[in-house]
Amino acid sequence: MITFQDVFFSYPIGKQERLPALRGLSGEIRKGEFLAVLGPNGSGKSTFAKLLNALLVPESGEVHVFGWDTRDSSHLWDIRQAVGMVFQNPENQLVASTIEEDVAFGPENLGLPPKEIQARVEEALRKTGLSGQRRTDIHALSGGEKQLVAIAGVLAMLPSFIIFDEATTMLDSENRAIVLDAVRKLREDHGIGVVLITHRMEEAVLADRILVIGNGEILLQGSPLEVFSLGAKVRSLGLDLPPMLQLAELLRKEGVSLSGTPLTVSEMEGALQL
Amino acid sequence: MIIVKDLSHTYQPDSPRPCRALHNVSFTVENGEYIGIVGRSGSGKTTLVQHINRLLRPTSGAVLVDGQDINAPGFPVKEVRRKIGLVFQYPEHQLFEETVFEDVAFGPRNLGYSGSELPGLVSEALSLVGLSFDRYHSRSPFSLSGGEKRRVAIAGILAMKPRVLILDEPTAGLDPQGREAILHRLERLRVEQGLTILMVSHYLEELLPRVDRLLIIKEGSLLLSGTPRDIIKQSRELHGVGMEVPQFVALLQRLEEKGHPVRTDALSVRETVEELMKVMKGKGKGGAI
Repeated sequence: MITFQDVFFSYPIGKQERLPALRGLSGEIRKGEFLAVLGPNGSGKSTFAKLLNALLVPESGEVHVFGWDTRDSSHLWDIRQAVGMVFQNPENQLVASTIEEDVAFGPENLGLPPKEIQARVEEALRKTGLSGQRRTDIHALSGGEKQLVAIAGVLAMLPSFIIFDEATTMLDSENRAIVLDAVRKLREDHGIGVVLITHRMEEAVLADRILVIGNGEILLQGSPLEVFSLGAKVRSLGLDLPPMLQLAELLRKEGVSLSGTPLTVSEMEGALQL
Repeated sequence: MIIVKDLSHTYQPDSPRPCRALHNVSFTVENGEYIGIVGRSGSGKTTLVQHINRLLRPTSGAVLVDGQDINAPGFPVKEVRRKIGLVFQYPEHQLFEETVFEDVAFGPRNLGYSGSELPGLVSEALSLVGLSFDRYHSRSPFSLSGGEKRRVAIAGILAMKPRVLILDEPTAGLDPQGREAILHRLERLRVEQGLTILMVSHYLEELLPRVDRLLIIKEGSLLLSGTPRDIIKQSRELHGVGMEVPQFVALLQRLEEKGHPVRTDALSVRETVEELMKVMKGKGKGGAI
């Protein structure tokens, strides 16, 4: 479990001034939970993500990962292993020259026996659909494919949580689906918790819980249904409604009475009762 | 007019593992057209657009701009860059000057515009992307939001007064409002300035209601080209290039499968509403289902 209590963080701008990024965030992320974090550009989402695996530590307040205080550097590596991170730009995350070597980099650094490393790499490649390309040169990959390698690299560390910091942003819809499917399996098969930071509402509806951050504060939280039911409020926070809910809204304006709050295509199909 | 003719590109052709990125791609872009380019990650979209302003040169084939081969010996590359502006993926990562003004002025300065012309160019370019010169010109690019940075980067290209604007995934990573702002600005540029636009995107739903034509790239070749309405009907081909149809099209397809007389080529949520209303009226359900 990850808990955060009254977390403040700011970035220095100039000699004296600081730009506040987070102002008093509190909450928890349960093991095996799928949490989507939404908010406009510059709202503090990425800062929040970096605080969850001690890439940043709070200016005031506390973050605990399985009870380890992220300010206590003696548990830094336990924390980093427990909470993996996949960033928006995969270019900065890949270190080796082939896919296989890159995915093995993390486990090798843990000093694991070769057999164990191999098994982990195998499994990570399989989950990300990269098994057939294991010896492919990293430089020959597109941005989207590199992102899948980065995800595989984190998977090979067998983390308890994986934070995806807009990690689907650069992917085509097929690769996005692969990643989101991997996310689903991680939770269902291994109980890995997922924090998905995204601008895509259709991804957020897949989560157990949504956290909306704006201006460094938690503005809303709840199930996708609870959050998106708020309609106009969600829009006023710079977000959008999922496409099916936009459709429902327009249909209602035309005088169609729809039951419920359809978030997915199937739910919409049901609500239409055609 | 841009003519891409039998364009092929191979990276590292002399290495033991050459990588063929484009193979015999041919198409024409008329002046003022809005073209969407889609395809799986790694299909060659970026390689393709980088040829159009001569960042890359063909292994074979040609790119003709207004009838001239831009790769002909002695052809002035500056003229290509002046005519054809290319906005990279994540262009804001290339902002480096201390002020918005200096960043936007960087391109035109390099093209030889003099100091006295720059304020006018910068001001115009910023207003084209919806940023006020007075409010923004002296700010540090690094103090801006993601959407604002992206628009400053696009302004830096527009300040060179291109007639063709190529954008490689211009909305990636932007929040819904930032995305809408960029797409809206592009449409205005096209209408008001008559710009020709080529846009690479992974999101069909942002291209469908806007572009004249879609080019589908598969494994370095041009698989399909057609109007959005023609293309959206070919969902199997789209699936084959890693593109899923938008949710509203998926919904219409499901209804069609159930035997409802719906068209499945809607280009927007709004068109989907019209289509659904027709079905309901046909069923005599009117406003109450």
